[in-house]
Amino acid sequence: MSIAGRRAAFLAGAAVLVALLTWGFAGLLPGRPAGPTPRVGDLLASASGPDRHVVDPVALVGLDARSLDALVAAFTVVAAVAGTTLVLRARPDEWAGHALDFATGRRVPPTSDAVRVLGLGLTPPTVLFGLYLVTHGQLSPGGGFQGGVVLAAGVLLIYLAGEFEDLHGLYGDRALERGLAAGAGGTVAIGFLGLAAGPAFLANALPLGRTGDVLSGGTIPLLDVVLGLGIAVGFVALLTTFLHQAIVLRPLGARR
Amino acid sequence: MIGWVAPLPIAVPWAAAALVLLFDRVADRRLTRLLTGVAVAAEVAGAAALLHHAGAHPAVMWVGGWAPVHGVALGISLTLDRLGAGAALGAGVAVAAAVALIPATLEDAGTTVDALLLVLLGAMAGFCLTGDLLTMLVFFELTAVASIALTAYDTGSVAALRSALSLGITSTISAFLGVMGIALIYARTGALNLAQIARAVAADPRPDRVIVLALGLLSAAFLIRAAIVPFHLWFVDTISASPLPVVIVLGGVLGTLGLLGVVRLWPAVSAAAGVPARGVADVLVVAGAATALVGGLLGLGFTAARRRLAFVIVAQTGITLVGAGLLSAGGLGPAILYSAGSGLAVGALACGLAVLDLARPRAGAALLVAGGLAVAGLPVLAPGLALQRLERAARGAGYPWVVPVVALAAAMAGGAVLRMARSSPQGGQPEATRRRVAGAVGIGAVLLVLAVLAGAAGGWTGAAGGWTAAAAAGAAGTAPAAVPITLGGTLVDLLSVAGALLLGSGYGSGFTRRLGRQAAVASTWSAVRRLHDGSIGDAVAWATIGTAAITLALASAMR
Amino acid sequence: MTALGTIVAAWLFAIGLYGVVTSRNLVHLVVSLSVSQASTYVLLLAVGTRAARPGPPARAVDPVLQALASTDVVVAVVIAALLLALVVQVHKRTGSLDPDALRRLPE
Repeated sequence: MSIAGRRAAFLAGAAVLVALLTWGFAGLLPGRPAGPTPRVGDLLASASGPDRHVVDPVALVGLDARSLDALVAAFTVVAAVAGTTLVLRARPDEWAGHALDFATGRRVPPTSDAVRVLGLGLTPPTVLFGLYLVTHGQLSPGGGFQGGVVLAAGVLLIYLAGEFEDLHGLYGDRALERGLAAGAGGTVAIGFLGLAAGPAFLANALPLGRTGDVLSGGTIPLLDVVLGLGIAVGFVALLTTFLHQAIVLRPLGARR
Repeated sequence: MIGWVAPLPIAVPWAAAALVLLFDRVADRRLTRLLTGVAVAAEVAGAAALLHHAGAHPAVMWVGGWAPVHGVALGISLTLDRLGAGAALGAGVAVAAAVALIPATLEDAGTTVDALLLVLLGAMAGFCLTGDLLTMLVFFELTAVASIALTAYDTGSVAALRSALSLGITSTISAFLGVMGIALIYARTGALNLAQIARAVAADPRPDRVIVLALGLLSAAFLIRAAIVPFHLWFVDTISASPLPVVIVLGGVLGTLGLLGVVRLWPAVSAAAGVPARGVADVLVVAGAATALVGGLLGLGFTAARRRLAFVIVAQTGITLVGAGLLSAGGLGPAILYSAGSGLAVGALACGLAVLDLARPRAGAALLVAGGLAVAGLPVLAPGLALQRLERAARGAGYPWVVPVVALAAAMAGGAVLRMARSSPQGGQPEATRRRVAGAVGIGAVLLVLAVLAGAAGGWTGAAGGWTAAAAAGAAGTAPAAVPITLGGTLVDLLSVAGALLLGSGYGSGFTRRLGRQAAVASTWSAVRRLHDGSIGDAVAWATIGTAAITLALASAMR
Repeated sequence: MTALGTIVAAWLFAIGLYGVVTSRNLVHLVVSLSVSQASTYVLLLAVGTRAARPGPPARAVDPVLQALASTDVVVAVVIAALLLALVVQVHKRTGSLDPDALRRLPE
């Protein structure tokens, strides 16, 4: 279709869709008496204290009642990161040279001292905060997914403060892929643990501990740690892959 | 005991995927390939065991042991019925064929491809087995993510990259629609479990715009992934550019799973707050019939082999939707059989194209011809037997016009495949080893034999149609419907095949050439060609239009 | 759920899709997708807030919706990364980021 034709067709369809969305959403506005059944979410929120000894109901829902969804999310990250690595892999007409920052049309200045100091200074608190988020998911908002991202941000700070080689020196070539696989595979393993120890796949089969402790909630903190590892490694892998593609890979025959 | 088997079709492929990635470059490549094969075989075995068990007594298993409390489902369920287990089995067969075809088509495929296929398989199995709406959606989204990188495997081909973008963007939009629909349903019913939702909606049967909007958005989300017209633009692009093993999975199974989503959704929302069953059925049957016709017509019109294949698959999905859209056990049974048979036929066609790529024109053409006859409705293979049942069920449900439409669509689709066989290009790699060729031909032959067997198991045996009717009855919650094989139905099948042979041999091409010189027809055809030239914006624009249309149709059918 | 939440969710969804349909730059296209994604978060939050629910006031915003939203955010980021990786390769192959330059490729 021509661009104008496409826009016209889309606007017609979108106008109808927006009208329908507004019509339907309006049914949710207060005024219509709601159904008698309490929501699943509210039932779970009221049960988190005595049932699994966790304080944060989101952890109870996300990693226990609906742990299968967390497993799926973990493997979605695996598929996306592995897919990104596959898409950005070196082609036969490219070679891996020295990591070289470049910008079109100007000379790239070296990393300024301010950035170095800030990066080095911020890295330990960031990593620490990430570890805190990962391990305290059952007590306060946070958990494996969020903490993993913060951990990855800490690693990003190392790259910002230094050079790509500093980052790449921290881990080997395949370590990232293995770490990601370990995170996801660990979640499946915990699932089988539940199956072996008792009732069902992904059951919360470990001792529940005392509410308010770091080690409470059975498999919930374990899942948080395993997922946190997988997510952190996954995001670092994304960072590395993109950087590798941009500043390391070069077409054959290029001057640099 | 069943608690042990039920999660296996998901957990075993995923555990294998993690192991394959862990031991990449550490273990011998043949070892990881073996692991992949074993995991796929285990999934097939597990799904078969669940299918057998579900035959005796369908079961519900609660993940994590979260059984319902006071009749409220707090956790996620795996509903082990024949339909889900059978679909998971089909997914396993498709991935097995894909993995087996890799040596013949993608020579240097690394472990990442195996891992992605395993993740895809586990996700498809999870989608088929779960009884929770949100879990279905996230599993389905994972199938899209895994497909994106597999489609873009040949990163040197801009067509592959573009089609992966098209797939990724439309699937993501489909996921948005799904999340919005789920949020609306949750707001109204407070539940995510399908059975729970059904109970909540039935308890309050007033006309409810929130549920109707949710039904529209969720149906659109599933039909986008199923590539029903007008959501099919991304699909044509993707099938045209993906590696052939990926085509087997995307074209043979994944589109049908979109229809499975609609079928699962329907009973849950069927008290459907104001929309009579007939209204929804009208929308779905018309959409399916239109898709079948468009697929058949455009399959004949385009000349590139992969494009033809894409449109043939679209036509088949349309026919499946016609059956499923009848929203009865009588329609669903033939639809199940048809989707199984057509998926196997698609696999055989992909193998035929692979053999052509390996410069064996006669063997490749033979596979294509056999697949084409299956698509056209030869009443020996599953699709043909299912077609006549489907036509009969539609007539019985008050849609007599479906019979000539579906028969014509099958004839056109079959004709398109036969034209593919006739105009197969001379080329490919003549130095391909005999082993690779034999592998590809072997897989294609096996899939065709399976299509015959599926037809026998679900078609000829017994008037009630064997296990497909029981599966349909289980899904629809009614008694099995007997839709027998009749002489009249067989004659209609043979008419479709005759039509396909005529179209395939070029009959009527003189007429169409004269027609094409008419100004109106020529400009329409060039507009259609421009529409299908791979623009991502076009795909999204038409997806928006389709979503609005389906939702509007459901809302107007509301009492 | 307020009237404002309704309007914002519908508007964000539509304007994001408009960006995708009319985009002349693939990176802009992927980011427009994120704008549409934001509408799903608005809807989830609107559905989950205290005022929207029946019965006595609960202790927290609906945890099911919170869990859904937070995993959705992480998944959306990795999907955007995958799509952007495709965009990078397209740029390397064709030198252009215009989606309309990708049409009519030889089969």
